[in-house]
Amino acid sequence: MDPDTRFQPTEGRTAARVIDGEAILIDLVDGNYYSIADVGSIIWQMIEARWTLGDIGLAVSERFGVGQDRVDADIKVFVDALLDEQLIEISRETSARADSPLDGGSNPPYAKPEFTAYRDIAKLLALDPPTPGGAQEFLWRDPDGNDTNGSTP
Amino acid sequence: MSSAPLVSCVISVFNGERYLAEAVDSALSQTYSPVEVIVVDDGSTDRTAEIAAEYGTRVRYIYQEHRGAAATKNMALRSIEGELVAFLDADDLWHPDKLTLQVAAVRERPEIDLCFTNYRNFWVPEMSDEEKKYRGHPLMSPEGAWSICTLLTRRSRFTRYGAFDEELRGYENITWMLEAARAGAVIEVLPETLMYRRIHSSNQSRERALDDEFFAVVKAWLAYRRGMT
Repeated sequence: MDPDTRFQPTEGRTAARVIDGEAILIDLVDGNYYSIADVGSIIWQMIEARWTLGDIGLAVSERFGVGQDRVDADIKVFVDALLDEQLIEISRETSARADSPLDGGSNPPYAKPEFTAYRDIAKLLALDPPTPGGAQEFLWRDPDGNDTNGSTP
Repeated sequence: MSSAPLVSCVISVFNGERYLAEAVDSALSQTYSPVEVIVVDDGSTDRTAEIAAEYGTRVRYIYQEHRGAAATKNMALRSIEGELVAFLDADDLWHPDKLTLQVAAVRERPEIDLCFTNYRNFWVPEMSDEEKKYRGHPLMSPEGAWSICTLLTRRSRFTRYGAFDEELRGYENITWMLEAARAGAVIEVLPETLMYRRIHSSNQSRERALDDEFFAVVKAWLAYRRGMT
């Protein structure tokens, strides 16, 4: 994976917020929910900010005092998993949007970045259509395969 | 519950003149008996009071100054008489057998604290384009979602688990349900589709789709789920 690659949340598909250090992601197409904590949440915020993979690896390595080879390998696994879930896509942006989300506090122990997927919550937690022209429109194709949103599979 | 218990049907409304009669009719048309229907008006300025009055003694009407949905339901809880209580929004509909099936479930299994059912969204005719757009969306076509309008519970559960949080505007229902679940409530979701949720241009919940509070609720949900495993 090219260290100059930047990713971003998949447009029209991934909605996310970071609340108290936990990244909450919703796949608006499949209705899955995800939780990312600790190091993974920091990396997620860097992905959202369009950091390159190389810069993410370097920053995390320095912040947590862990060898960059190990961090890069962990990030690759993490990013591959996010790609498998279609939660991120390659960004065409050429610079980062924001500074590091890392603060100057004490270092928590390093742990592999991971996410937890919850694939049954959509059956329990209802969401209404967004206000037309207001909140984020949902990317969605009906089960019959009709393209109702102007997008292509 | 030796004899058929009284079910209090609480219909909360704020300027809901357009669909209120349909909601009341669906509550009055239940195959279950006895039912008391209470329309709780949260300070409406439209014809809500007139519509409720047209039902005479079949509907009890309560009015309060506008204080929000949680306060409205809490006020209703202070005045109802039913051992069991169910809620219906003024723009939604119940299947005629909703209470029959739910009361049977809680009588057969008295340990059930919160009894939900499956439900289905339906769009008003003038929004058929949106219906096509979101047909089958897993986030909008929940099977057995925890919805206040499918809930049947014992009135005493609001003593056990507390009242609706009146500080919350929009997520008081799911927050109450999560609190009850965390406190160990036994929850049953009946597979039958027994409530029909009307999607129209002025659903209050539209404005909060994917807002910060929604994500906060999701975070609480995920924490609850982690606690279960």
